[in-house]
Amino acid sequence: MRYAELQVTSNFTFLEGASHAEELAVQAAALGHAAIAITDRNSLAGIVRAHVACKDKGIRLIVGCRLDFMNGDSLLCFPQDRAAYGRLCELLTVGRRRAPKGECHLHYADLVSHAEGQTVIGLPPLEMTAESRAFLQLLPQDFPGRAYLALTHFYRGDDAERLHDLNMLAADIGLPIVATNDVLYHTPERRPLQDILTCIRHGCTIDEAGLRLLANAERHLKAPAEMERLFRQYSDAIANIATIIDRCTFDLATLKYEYPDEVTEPGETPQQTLARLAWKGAEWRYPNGVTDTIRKQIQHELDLIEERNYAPYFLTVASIVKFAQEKEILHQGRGSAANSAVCYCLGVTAIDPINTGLLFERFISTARNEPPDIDVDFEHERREEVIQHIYEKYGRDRAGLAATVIRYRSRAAIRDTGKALGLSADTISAISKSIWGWSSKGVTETEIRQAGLDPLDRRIAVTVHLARELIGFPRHLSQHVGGFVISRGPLSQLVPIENAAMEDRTVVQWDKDDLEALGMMKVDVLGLGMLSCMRRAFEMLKQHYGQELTLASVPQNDVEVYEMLSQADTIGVFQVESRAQMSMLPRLQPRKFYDLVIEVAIVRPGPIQGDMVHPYLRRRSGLEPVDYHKDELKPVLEKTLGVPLFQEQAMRIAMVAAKFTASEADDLRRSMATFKSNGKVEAFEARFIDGMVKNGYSRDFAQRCFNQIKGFGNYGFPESHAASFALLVYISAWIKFHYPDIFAAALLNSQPMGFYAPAQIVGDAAKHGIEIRPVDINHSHWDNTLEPQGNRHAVRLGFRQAKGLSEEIAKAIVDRRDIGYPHMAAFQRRASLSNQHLVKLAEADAFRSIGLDRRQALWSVMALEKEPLPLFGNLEPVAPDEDVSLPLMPVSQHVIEDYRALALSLKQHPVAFLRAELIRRGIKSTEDINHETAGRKLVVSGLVLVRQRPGSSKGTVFMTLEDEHGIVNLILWPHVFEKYRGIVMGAKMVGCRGKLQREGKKPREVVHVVAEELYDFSPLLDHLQEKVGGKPGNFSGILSHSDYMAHPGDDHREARQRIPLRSRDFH
Amino acid sequence: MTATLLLSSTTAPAQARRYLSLWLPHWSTDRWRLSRKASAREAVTHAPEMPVVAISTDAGRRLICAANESAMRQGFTPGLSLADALARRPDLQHFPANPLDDGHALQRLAAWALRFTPLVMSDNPNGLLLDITGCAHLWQGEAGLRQDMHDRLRRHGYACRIGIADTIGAAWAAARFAEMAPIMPIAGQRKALAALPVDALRIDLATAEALRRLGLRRIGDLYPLPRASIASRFGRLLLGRLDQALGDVSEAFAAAFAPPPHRVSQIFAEPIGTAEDLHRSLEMLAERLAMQLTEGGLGARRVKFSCYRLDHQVSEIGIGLSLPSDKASHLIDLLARKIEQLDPGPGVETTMLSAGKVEALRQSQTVLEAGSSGDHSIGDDTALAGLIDRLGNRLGAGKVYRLVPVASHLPERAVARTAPIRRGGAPAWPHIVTAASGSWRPLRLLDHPEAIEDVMAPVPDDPPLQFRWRHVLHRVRAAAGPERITWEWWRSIDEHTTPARNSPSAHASRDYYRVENETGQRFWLYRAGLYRPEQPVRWFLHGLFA
Repeated sequence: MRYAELQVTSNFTFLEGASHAEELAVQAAALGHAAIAITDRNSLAGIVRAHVACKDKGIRLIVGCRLDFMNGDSLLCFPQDRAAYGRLCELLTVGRRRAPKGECHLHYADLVSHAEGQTVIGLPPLEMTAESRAFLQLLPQDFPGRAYLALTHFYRGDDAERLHDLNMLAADIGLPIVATNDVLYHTPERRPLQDILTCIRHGCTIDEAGLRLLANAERHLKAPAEMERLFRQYSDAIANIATIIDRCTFDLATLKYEYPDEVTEPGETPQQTLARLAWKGAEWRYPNGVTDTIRKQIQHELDLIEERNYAPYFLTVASIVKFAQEKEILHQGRGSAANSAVCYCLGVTAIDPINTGLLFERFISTARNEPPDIDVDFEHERREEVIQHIYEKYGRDRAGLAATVIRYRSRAAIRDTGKALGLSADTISAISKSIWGWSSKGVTETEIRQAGLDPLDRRIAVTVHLARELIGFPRHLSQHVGGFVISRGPLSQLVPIENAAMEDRTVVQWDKDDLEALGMMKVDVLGLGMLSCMRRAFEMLKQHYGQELTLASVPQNDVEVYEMLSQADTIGVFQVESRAQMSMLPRLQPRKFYDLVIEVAIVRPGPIQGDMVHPYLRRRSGLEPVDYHKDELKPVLEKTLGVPLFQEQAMRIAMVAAKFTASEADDLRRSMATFKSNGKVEAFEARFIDGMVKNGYSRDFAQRCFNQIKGFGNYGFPESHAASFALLVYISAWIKFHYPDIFAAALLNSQPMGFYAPAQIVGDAAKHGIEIRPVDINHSHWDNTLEPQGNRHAVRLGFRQAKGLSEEIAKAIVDRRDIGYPHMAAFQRRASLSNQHLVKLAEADAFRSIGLDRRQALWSVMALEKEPLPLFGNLEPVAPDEDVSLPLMPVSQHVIEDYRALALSLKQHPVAFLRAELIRRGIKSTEDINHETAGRKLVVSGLVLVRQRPGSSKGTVFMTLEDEHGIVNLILWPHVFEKYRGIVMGAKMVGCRGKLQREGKKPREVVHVVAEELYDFSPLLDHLQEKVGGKPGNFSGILSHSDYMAHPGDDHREARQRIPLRSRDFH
Repeated sequence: MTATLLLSSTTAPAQARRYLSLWLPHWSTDRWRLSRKASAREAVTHAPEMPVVAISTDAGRRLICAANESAMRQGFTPGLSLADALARRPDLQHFPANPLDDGHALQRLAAWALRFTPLVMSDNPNGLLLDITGCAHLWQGEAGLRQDMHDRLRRHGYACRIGIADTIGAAWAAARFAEMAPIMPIAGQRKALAALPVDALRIDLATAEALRRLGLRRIGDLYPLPRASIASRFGRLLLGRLDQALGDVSEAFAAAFAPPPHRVSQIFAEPIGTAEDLHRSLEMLAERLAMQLTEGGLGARRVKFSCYRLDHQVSEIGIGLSLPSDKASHLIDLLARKIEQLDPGPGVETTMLSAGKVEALRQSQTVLEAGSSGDHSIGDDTALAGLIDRLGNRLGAGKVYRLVPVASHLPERAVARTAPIRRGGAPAWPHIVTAASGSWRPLRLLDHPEAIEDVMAPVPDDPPLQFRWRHVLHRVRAAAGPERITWEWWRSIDEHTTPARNSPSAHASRDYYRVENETGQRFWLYRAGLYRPEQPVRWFLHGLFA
C-alpha cells in the first residue's frame, strides 16, 4: 500500500497551519509516506520551501493547493504537468489581483476555464447541503476521470454515518473517493500552538475561543497503517491515493525560467547585442585605450556569459541602468557584480575590477550552477521612478517584485501569544521590553525575572514556551525592497502574482530564497540614502563652486583625504562613521583604496567572530610575519596578508583546505543563512575542521576559519561588495574634507540617514570651521542651503530641521518672501499660515531677523489668528501689539527649547550649563581627558549619544557620550552592563567612573573609558529648565538616543541583521 | 464637580467671605491602607510607611493612578505603568482603584465636616470646600480651626493640606501650593497669590505649560499684562480663573448632599411587640416607601425592615429582589414571610423600612388591550420574577438559577448557572448541544462521571460491546463513536499542580460513545485517555439519553 497525505495545511496558510513545511516533510518521510502534498489555501507561497524540504528529506512533493471559492465551496487542486501548473498560477493570480492584499477572490467558473490538466479532490462540508451537493456533482463532468471526493475521519462521533453517506453520495454522482486527514500540524503536540493561532486569527483569548477551537488533536500526519485502519471499510479511498501520486508528477525543478530578449538591433542575438554594448562601453571606460589585459578579460567574461546563456540577464540590467543614466539618477552596482569588467563597461558598477584585481569567477563560475546576482543601488529618493519604469517597460504580467516573508520574531510572538493566553498588555510589554533586539531564540527565565515578572507563573511560562514555537512562523507576505523578477513570457504562468500593500505594486508569491532555489534570476533595485546625499553634494558643488563631478570622476588617491580617515574624523562618512569603524581607522591607517575595501569588510561580525582582526592588524604593522599555513592558501589569502577577511575567502578555504566541492561550499554558506539550519551547521563544522586538520592545518586555525564562516552566514561582505561600498566611503570622505560646508548641508538634507543625529552633524561641521546659521523666516528654505561667506559658505539651516513644518509651508514662506518680511504682521498677512504653523516657527526661534526671540514671537503669534483684522487686511500695521515685556528667557532654557523644536541648538551645548556643577563633582570633560594619561581612573559625563551591543561583542556594550567639547567612548563589560542595565537603557545623561585606555599615537589614537561604575545624571538636565514651585520641567524626555540605526537606503535584509540593537529596545 | 463656574463679571462680593479648601493628596491610598488596618485589626503604627499605589486599567494597560507619599518619593507617580513599577520594586503594594467608592467616601467626609460649618461641598476627586465665614471664632480663630481639622484627619490617618482665603480659588491655591502660608489674610490674596505658580489657578496642564513657555511662571507675572492680550491668547477662561481667585468676580458655592436615602420610619408612643402590630407597621411603611420609590422612578433590589427595641438592640429581616420593584404588595408579601423571625424583645419603639439598594425601574406599561397577543411578556416577566423571588427567598439564594450555554467542547463545562432572570434574554444554545450536528449530547448529564466495569471493547477505539454500571451488566446492541474530546490544555496550566509533560492528565482526551443496550436504554460512555497497550483502560458513564 502506498499512502500520501493529500490535504496538508502548512504555516503558509497564515494563522492556521501550525507546522513548517520542513517539519511536515520530515514527519511524512519518517512515517513512511510515499509522497506529501502541501495544499495551502489559495496560495503557492510555501510550495518552494516544501519542494526544497522534500528534496532534502527524500520524499516526493505533490504540487498543489486548496482552492476556497467565494461561495464557500472548496477543493484540492493538483496540476499534472507544467502547463497545468502554469494555469493554476494564472488562476491564483486572477483571484489575487482582483482582491485586496492578502485575499483571493475565486469562483468555480474561474477554475473551469483553467481546468485542463488539473486533478481535483472535492472537499465536502461537515453538513452537506443541497448547494454543496450540487457543487460536487459538477466535478465529474468538468474534470472527467480527474475528480475525487475527500473522505476524512474527524473523530466527531458521527464519522461512521458521515463516511457512509459520503460514500453513497460519491457512488451516486460518480466520484471516486480518496482518504485525507486534513492535516494542520505534523504531530499532535502542536495542538496548543494551533489553538493559539486560532485565537490570534479571531482576535480572542483562549478562554473566550470556545468552539472556535478544535475539539481534539487528531489533525496530524498519521501512519499509513492507521489511515488504512480508519478507512478499513473504504479501501478504495486509500487505493485511489496511489493513482493520484502517479498521475500528479509535476516537479518544480522542471520550471524553466527565461529572460526577456532585450535585443535592440534587429537580427542580433542577445549575445551579440551584449558584446557590442560591452566593447562600446570599454572605449568609454578606458579612454586611454583598451589594453590587452582588458581585452582578454572582457572576452573571457563574454565567453563565459555565452556559455551559460546569461546575456539576456545582463542586457536587462544594462537597460535599467541606462534608464537611470538618462534620468540622471545616481546609481552604483554592488555585490558580486563588481567582479565583472562587463558590468563595469555597461555602467552597472563603478569599480574597475581589473584595476582592483577582482576575479570574475567569483561572480559567475562554471562550477556553481547558480545564476549571477546583480544588485544596483539607486538614490533612495528616486528609486520609485526606476521601479515604475520597469513595470512600464515589461508590464505587470512580466515583471513583479519578489516577496518578503514576514515572520514572527520574539517581540510579536510574545505579544500575540500573550494576548491569546489572556495576559494583560503591561505584562506582555514587560516581557517583550526586556528583549534585546531581534532575537530569534525567545525569552529566557532570567529575562522574565528581570522584567519584574514571576517566571513560575504558569501562563507566562506557557506563553514563553509557545511563543518560542511560534517564532519563525510566516505571518504575511510583504514586498521585497527591490528584488525584481522579469521574465520573457507571462510571469503569472511561473508563479502566482498578488497585490502589494503599496499602490501600483505587484508581488510574486515567492521570496528571494525561493527564487534562488529554483534558479530564477532577479535584479535588485535598491535605494541607498548616501547616493541621494552624493547627488545633492554634486549639485551644490556645481552651483556654488562651479565644479562638475560624478562618482567616477572624483579625484582618487588624495593623501589628505586618507589622512583625515586615518584620524577617524569621519562623522557622516559612509560606512565608517560607527564607533567600531572609528576605532579601527587609526589602527588600520588606510593609505590607498584597497585599504578602504578592507576597512569596510573587517569591522563585520565575520572577521570579529573569527578573531581575524588582530592578526591582520599585527601583520599589517609588521609585528607578525605573514603566514599562509600552506602554500595552497597563498593565492586565496595573499591580498589580505594570510588572514581571511572576505566571505569568498572563507568559502575558498573550505574548498582548498577542507576539500569541499564548490557546491558543498555553497551549501555551507546557504545553510548558515537560512532560517532553520536543522543541525546542518554542526555537521558541516565537524567535516570542515577535520578536513583541514587532515590536510595539515592547525585545529585552532581551522576552528577560527569556521567561526568566521559562521559569522559570515549572515553578516559577511564579499570583497566586491566591500569594494563598491569603499568607493562611496572615499567619495563621501573626499567631499567632507574638501567641502565640509557642502557635506554638512547635503547630509542634513538626506536625513534620516546614518549613525548620527543632526545635532552631531552640525556640531562636527562647526568644528571644521563652518558657520551654521539658524532657521529664519527671512533666510531659510526647506532644505539646508549654503550662503556665501568669504571663499567658503555658511550653512543656513532649513525649515526641514524644525519639527511640525512641511515642505509646503516652507514653500509658501519662501515664495512670498519677496525682499523680506519686515515684521510679524507682514509675515502673517503675506505668508498666511495657520496659527499652528506660526507657533511651530516661533518655537523654532525663526523670527530673530525681525527682532523677536522665541518668547516674544510666541507671544505675538498666539494672538494673531484668534483676532484677525479683516478691516486692516490691506494695510500693514506697524506696531503689532500692546507693549508687553515678557520675562527674558535664560539661555539654558533657549537651548532646551532649541532641542525641543529642532533637535539641536546652535547656542550652546546643554552640558555646558552643568559644567560648574560637574567640576564641583570632580568630573572631567572630554577635553580634559586628552591631557590624562592612560590607566588613570576618572569620571566622565555626557549626554548618551549611541548605545550598541553588537552581536559579535559577546554581551559587551559600547556607549558614546557627548559633552560641549566632544565625545568619549565607554566600554561596558557584560557584568558591568548587567549591574547598570537600568541606567544604560534609560538614562539620557550618565556619569561614568572608569579607567582611561589609549591605543596608538596622537592624533590617531583610540581613546575610551572602561566603565566600572555608572550614574544616572538625567535629573541634572531637568535643572536646566526654569523652575517654579519646586517642579523642574522634564527636559530629559526631549533628548532622543540615536542608537545604532541602519542606513535606511541600505539593503533591507542586511540592515536588519546588522542592527544588534534598536533604539526602541530601550524605551 | 458640583462647583459651577460663573464667568460673568457682574457684581462685586457683597460681604467678605472666608473659604477653607481641604486637599487630601493621598485619598485613595490612605483609604485603602485604613480599610486594611481595620480589617486586620492592626494597631496604628508609626513605622515608616510602605509605598502603595492604586491602579487603573486603561486599554489593557495597568497604570498607577494614585500613590501614597512614600511611593511618590520613590518615583512611583501617576501615569507610570504597573509593570515598570514592579520591575523596579517587585514588592510594591498595589490595589485596583475605585473612584466610585472614593467619591462616596468623600461624600461621607463632607457630612463629617459639617461639624465645622453647615456649608460644605465636595471638591472632587480628593478635596472639600468649606464656607467658614463667621465660624472660626469657635476655634479661637482660623488657625485654630485649621489645626483642629488637620489634627482630626491626621489622627484618622489621612494626609491633608488645608488652605484658607477670601475666595474659593485662592483657598484652593493655598491648600495645594502655599505650604508656608496656608492662611491668606483678609483681602490679602492678590499679594499671596503672586508668588504661586500659574498651576495654582485651577487651569489645565496645557495652558499652564503654554504660560510657562512665555516665561509667565507665577501668578504675579500675569498682573502687569493687559487683560486684552491675555484674553486674546488664552481665551476668557484663564482670566476668569484669575478673577475668581482674586475675588474680582464671585464664584458659586453649591453645598450639595446626596439625595436622602430611601427610608421611612414610624415612632410609637407605646412600644409594640405582637406580630400583628409589626405587620401593620410594615404595611404602612411599605406603602410610604413604595410611593417614594415610584416618585423617583426607582425600584428596590434590597429591602430591610428594622425594629429598634427598648433595650437599644435592633432586630432585622431583609429580602432581596431579582428585579427592582416599587410594588408595596410585593414587598409586604416577601417580608411578611419572615416576620416571625423578628424578636421584639422588651418592646419595639421605632420601626424603619429602608431600601438598601435601588435601581432605576424599567418603564412598565400596564396592558393596553387586554387579550391582545404578544404584549403580555412584560407582565409575564414580572409575574415570573415574583415567583422566583418567593422561591429564592424560601429556598435560599443561589438555589434558583438558569442554565446558559458556555462555548466549550468539554460537556461538563458547556453549561453554566446564572441569575434566573437576565435582561436581554438568554443566549442561543449552540449547535453542538442540539441534536442537529453530528455530536450528540445526552439529555441528562451526570454531575460526576461514574466509573463502569467489565468493559469489553476492541482496541484501539472501537465502541464497547458490554459494560457494568451500578452492578448491572449491559450488553451493547448498537453504538456510535468515538467522539474524541481533548482536555482544555490552557486550563490545566492555571492549576497549581504541575502535570508531568506526558502524564495522562496533561494531554488527556476522552473518547465518547453513544451506546444502546438490549432493552433500548441509551448511555453516553467514555474511555479516559487514548488506548495504549499494557496500560489499564478506565471507562466512565457520563450521561443518559432519554
